[in-house]
Amino acid sequence: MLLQKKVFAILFFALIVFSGCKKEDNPLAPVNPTDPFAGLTKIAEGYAAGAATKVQLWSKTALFTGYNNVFIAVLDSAKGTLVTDAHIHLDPMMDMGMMKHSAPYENPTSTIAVNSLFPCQIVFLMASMGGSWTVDVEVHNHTSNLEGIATLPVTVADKTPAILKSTVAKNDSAKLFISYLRPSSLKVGINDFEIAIHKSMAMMSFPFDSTYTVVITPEMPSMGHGSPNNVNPTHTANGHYKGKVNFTMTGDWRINLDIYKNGAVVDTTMYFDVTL
Amino acid sequence: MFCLPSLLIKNTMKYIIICFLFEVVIAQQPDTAKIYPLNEVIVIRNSEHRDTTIDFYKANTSATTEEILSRSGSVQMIRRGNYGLEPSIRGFSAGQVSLTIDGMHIHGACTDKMDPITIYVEPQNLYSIDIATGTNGLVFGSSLGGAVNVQLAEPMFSETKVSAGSGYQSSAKAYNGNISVNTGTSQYALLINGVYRKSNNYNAGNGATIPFSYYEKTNLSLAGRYQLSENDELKSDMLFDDGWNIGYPALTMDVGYAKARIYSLSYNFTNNDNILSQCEVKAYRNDITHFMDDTHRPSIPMHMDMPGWSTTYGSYINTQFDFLDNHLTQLRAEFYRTFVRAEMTMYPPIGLPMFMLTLPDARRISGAIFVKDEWDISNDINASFNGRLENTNSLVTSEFGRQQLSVFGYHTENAINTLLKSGTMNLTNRFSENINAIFSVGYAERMPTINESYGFYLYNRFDGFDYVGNPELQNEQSLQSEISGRFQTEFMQIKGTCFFNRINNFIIGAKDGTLSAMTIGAHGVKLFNNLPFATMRGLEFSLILHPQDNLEIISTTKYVQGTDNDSKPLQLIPPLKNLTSVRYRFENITVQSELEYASSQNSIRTSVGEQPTASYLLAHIRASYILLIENLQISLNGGVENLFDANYRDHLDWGNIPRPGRNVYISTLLSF
Repeated sequence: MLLQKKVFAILFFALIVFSGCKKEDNPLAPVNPTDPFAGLTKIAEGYAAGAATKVQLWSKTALFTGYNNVFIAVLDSAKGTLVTDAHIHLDPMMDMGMMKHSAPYENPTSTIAVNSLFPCQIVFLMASMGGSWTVDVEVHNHTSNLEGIATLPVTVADKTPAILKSTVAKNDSAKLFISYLRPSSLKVGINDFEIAIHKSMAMMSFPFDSTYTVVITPEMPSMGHGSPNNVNPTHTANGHYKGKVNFTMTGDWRINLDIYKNGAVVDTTMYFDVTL
Repeated sequence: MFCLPSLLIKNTMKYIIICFLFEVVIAQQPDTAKIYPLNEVIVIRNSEHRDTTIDFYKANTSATTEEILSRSGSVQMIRRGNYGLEPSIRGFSAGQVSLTIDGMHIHGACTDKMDPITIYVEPQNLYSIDIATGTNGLVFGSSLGGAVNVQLAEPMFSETKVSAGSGYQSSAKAYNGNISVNTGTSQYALLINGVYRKSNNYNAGNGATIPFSYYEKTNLSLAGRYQLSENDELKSDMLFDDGWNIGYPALTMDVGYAKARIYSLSYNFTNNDNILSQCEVKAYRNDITHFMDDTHRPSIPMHMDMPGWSTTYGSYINTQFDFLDNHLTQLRAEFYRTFVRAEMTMYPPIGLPMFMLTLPDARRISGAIFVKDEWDISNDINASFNGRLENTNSLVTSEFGRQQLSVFGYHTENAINTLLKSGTMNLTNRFSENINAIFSVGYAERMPTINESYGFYLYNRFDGFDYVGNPELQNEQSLQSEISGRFQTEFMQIKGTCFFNRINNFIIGAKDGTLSAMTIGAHGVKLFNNLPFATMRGLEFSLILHPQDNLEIISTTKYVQGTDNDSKPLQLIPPLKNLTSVRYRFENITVQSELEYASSQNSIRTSVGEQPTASYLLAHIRASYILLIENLQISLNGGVENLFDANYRDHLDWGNIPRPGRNVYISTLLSF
């Protein structure tokens, strides 16, 4: 009897340990949080010859048309270590054969890396189907005081539903690009709503514009109803406008945008479709 | 043709008595005859009173509990279909009145109130209906408009009885059947009741058929008693009610399936020689499932599923003491917990299904203490006091539900805790052998219902608006008074009552023009909010004439007025109504003729699109015949309701749907 009890005790203990092990094996559990590349995929890499560094571009997902959060990793060519003090400047370029154009972007806000990487943003205006995208990364390595440029070829896919819209303003014919910074998940209830507005100046410069008034009206196209108490996005910084959008149920929603400048209508036809 | 069990009540239990007593519990006290009526108790089933022949309430032997209720002196039914009528007492309804079965709280699972709990008890399984107005219903719940408590029939010891019967009603081509078996020794007793009803679309006066007015249901109940000793016993009840294909002509959807499971176990102690003369301890649980269905409706813009569930469990202890001479004290403590969830999933022709919680996983826990003392100050003066304290804690338990309500700026992470304080005082004076009067004042509070607090886009077909709950609502508070007098002789009884009720923080929907309606075709969105106050006032009058042993005339009249703080009429207030019945018995044959009158209602709440209603006058005629062959008793009933086939609707009927036209009914019951 005693033996039996012991066997049961051991089995029970084993069960607990086993179930514990299973939990650690859970792929959804967070991996080492200090790993700067955790959860990121390497999109492209190249050498910035003059700066004696290898430059890599990382992102959480494959690149798509619209506002992308990307991370630049700068590695010392000789030592292979991550350079964390550098000045980074981006220059995305689309080569369509007959013509070339750039895209809106946001350089790293600091020369000091965040968790060893330099976060920055690029608004890809079209997919790679119509030409080929490259991102030039100009690096000034503050440790070695060397400078160089790496050219990284990247592939950009279309995103549906679209999170980037363009329009020619009704008031002054300015060519505008409106990017929706769609949160990774949307829920029934109150959601952040953030857009970025950039202007096209020639084809090589896309400065942000902070002077617009934006009104949002969510609706369910199949029902024809909206949702209450939405907060219209207002300018915060760098052409970003932040507000709140509310969803009362799951399903397909359309967030209509009306854009004004100094009381004049700029555009009232734009919308972003979302599904939750 | 084999007809399943029919709905007649055994002969011995077939007569209905109007007992004007304080409570059913006290009804057994021998000297209560002097106590003046406060509550109206309709006793349906009581073999000891078989010779009392007031068959007023359950005039049609195929009647449902709802139909019996509608004949009461203070109750009117809100009608959305031929089934699931909601009781309203003196113009109060929903959260303002408390509905219980044997003291058990049950929460409907339907967002559109299609399932008032009175549908779960069939008349043949009914012992009595206790109707309390105003604060006299506090024993059953913190309500300010009154209470309806339905007492289930009890199995009888040392008795074996079987009865079966069936009935047919022409207007809806409806048939029903019932079977009831009672078996008992001196120690245990068992009662089984089964009822089946099927009703097709009924015809309104002038012949038009009302689509989606059909329904079908079964009701099965099992009750058992076990005597532990001379003074105490155990009792258990199980009730299974299943309805399907229940049409609601006044609504946009029907009910595909509705299921109620009600269980209780209780311990009862009675000893009139003891200081503690009565004690009842009960534990109960009930689960309600309700699936709405639009698949039979033509040309709906979008199919949707709307299931709902509720679960309530609780217990109470009810005791009665004789501490002091001339005092009777009742103490009751109760606890109950309710959980409600209702969903809506819409399937658009293109795109993903849309999902929301219309009742967002709300749970409510209540604990209450009720005290009542009845004091016979002298032979002619009686005073009674009662008070109820109830603490209620309500919470939206799911994150999804909270996020939904956050859209309206409501923070529902924390529970709402509220203490409800209510009390009332009654003074009865007997001026002479024939005349007595009662005066009562009361104060009551009720908290908003789960629909009013947390409901999310509940479409109300009555006014065509989507309703959104408001967790920040204040409790309704009512200050009320009532005075009534009765004159009684051997041959007649006249009773008149006049009541007044002021309700502060009256809860009502208010249109918010900035919001867009969710339901396709709805006029807009209303948010529940508190009006500063509303008032309700009215009169009730009843006359019973008993000129000779076999002739009886009963007439009841009820009238109520309700206005808001701007003196504008409230909605769904019934007009003046009178029901007069003349009953004549000759040996085994009884004949009864009735006139039912309702005046027009032009005091309407135009702001919610309420329509005026024309007056109507109906005539009914009924007859019954009882045949005894040794132990076998055969009872035959028949009659014609709405004899002149009037096309009419009652003011409390939703959607301008006319009521049934001429209805010929016949039923038989065999019992031995």
